[in-house]
Amino acid sequence: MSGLSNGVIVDITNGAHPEDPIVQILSMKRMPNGAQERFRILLSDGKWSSSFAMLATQLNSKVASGEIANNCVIKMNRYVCNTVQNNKKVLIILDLTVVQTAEEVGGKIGEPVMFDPNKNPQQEAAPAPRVTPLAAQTAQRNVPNASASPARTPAGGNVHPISLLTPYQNKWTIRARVTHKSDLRTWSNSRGEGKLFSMDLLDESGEIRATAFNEQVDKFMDMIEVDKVYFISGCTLKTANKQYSNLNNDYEMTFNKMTEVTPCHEASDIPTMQFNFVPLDQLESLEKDTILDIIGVCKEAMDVASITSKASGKELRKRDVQVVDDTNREVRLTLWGRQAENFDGTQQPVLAVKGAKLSDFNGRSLSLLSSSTLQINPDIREAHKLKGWFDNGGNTAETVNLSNQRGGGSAGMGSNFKTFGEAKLENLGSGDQADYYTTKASVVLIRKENCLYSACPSDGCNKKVVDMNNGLYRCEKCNREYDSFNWRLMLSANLADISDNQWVTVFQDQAEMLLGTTSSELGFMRENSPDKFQNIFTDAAFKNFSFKLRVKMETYNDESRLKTTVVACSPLEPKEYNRRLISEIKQMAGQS
Amino acid sequence: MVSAADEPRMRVNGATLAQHNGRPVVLMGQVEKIDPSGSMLMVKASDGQSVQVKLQEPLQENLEGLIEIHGFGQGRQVMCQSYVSFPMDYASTFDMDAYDQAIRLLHSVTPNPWKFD
Repeated sequence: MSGLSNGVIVDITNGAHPEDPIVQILSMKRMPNGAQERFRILLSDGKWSSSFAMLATQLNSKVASGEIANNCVIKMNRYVCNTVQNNKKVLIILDLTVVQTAEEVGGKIGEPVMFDPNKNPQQEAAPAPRVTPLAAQTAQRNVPNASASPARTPAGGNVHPISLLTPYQNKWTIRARVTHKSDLRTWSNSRGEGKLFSMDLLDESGEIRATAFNEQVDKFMDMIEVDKVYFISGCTLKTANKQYSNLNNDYEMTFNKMTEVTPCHEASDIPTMQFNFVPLDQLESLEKDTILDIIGVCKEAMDVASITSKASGKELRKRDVQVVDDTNREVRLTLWGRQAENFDGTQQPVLAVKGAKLSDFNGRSLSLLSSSTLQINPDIREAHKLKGWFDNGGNTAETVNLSNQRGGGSAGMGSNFKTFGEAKLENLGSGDQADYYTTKASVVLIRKENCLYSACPSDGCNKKVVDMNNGLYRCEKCNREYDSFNWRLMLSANLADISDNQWVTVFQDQAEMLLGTTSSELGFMRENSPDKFQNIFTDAAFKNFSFKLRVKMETYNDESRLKTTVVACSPLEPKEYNRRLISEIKQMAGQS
Repeated sequence: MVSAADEPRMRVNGATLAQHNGRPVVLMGQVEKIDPSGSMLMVKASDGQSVQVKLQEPLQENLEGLIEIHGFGQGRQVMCQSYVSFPMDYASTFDMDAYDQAIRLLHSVTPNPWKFD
């Protein structure tokens, strides 16, 4: 029998784990498994044969090289035998040594009989090896030495690592910490309605997302608390929907009727929340929509505000807080919903955020998503370090506010930088759609003729009203007459930069910023103090601003003209401008 | 020595100071140490190098923080004619790294395109 370990297949099937068994590979079958191939092996121990073995993918190269071939004899250095559904066994060979090559052996050793674990081991007949259904399903991932961790589940079995969960195996129990629990959400669509909540689970091997629907919500919602460890078993595994989670796992799971959750009290090895903090001074170099973790001190918290979402029409509650860290940068963080309402920023707590989204709104700002987690004053080293820094002078240090909030609202200034000369050269605005660009420019001249118009006093309507000459003013849009009007600004200004100049139209908010006065004051000045009025305009000249401009070809009574308007304007930020210039110079020098 | 009005003052850092021997320079940096005699101080330039600055008269005030020395280059030292000191709140927001990059860019183009003759 050439040294094959007779009967070892029976032993392994019955749950034993003999060391270094010697077996012969009778045949191999390539199973397509998505990107990778997997080989199913018909093994023989001299007495019995079974096709329950699979080769771990890390050994695929040995097949390709011919080292492993039909009839070779191998010693299995490392292997695991897992039970899949219906009590079937699958043997995964993780590491092997070729004891005798196929050429040396020359043929099948002995007369092994096909082993069927369901029948009595003393079977006579040797049915032709057929592909058992279980093989088609055991597309097990690369299993690192999956000897069960010493932890025992309440049922007495072994705890399964999260990283090894697959849809093909249902008898597992995991022991994990809940790192995030979402709010209860209800939905109602054409197929019906229901409720759900979801959670993120973490153990030493990895993390996975789990969702509970309807009945399971009632069963588990109150019981499961964030940051506690539970034994969980019997969920349904499926491929992850990356739209809803950014966890590092190909699968996610759903609670079902068979799911059981038991609290675990010796939390020992399960790691707590894993963070990967980004210092705030690096935020500017990251792209918008990046998901990241940050930690900082809540320097200031605004009140809860209610806004109506343009997208869904729903009313949302939000709270903005300013977070600062020891890189002397501060940024605005937006909290939503219940988290916003319950937040207490009075003690200037340390906030640790996992999974916040970076946006380029107002420079750089962060927003919490439903999948984000916020921890207040967490008991971790970075938090204590920050608190120490803050109390020892960090709170008075000058900080750079990455979310520069200006009265006029400078939304998304980081876009498309052009000089006027470039804009004209590139014929911006001549296409069908409007083009937007940003530039730094100086005000050269603002026309003071026709700078003000009388506008409808009702909220939100800025249409020019017609003077009825009887003390009343009529607004065509509202179809009403009013006895007063608001002065509103519409300036025609000439802006210039190093390349060229450009006439632009500036509306109310930005105009007030350029002139440094409100439209109503200006209206008053025009009537009553013409000198002061004049001075406003001369003072406005040669001031530098950063402008976001919109240029479009417009047709007015058969005539087409390229019109440029100011969408936003903000005072120049020398530091940011400087940085941009340096990087542009480097790019031009071919060094960036 | 050439009077300051005839030649443009070049802004330098520690590394480029040596190229401007005998020429008017501006060195911006942090005050590191003031010599007890009051007529010499060490300034940390924008690239981190320490430069010795000699004063014509002993210091009357206790300087600290960000400082801009106007003077003449003398090898690895500066003979200071005048200085500008900045209040502490400027000093903390001053982006030394950006300034250093600007200086390096200025020196990377020869001949100096910013001179007007």
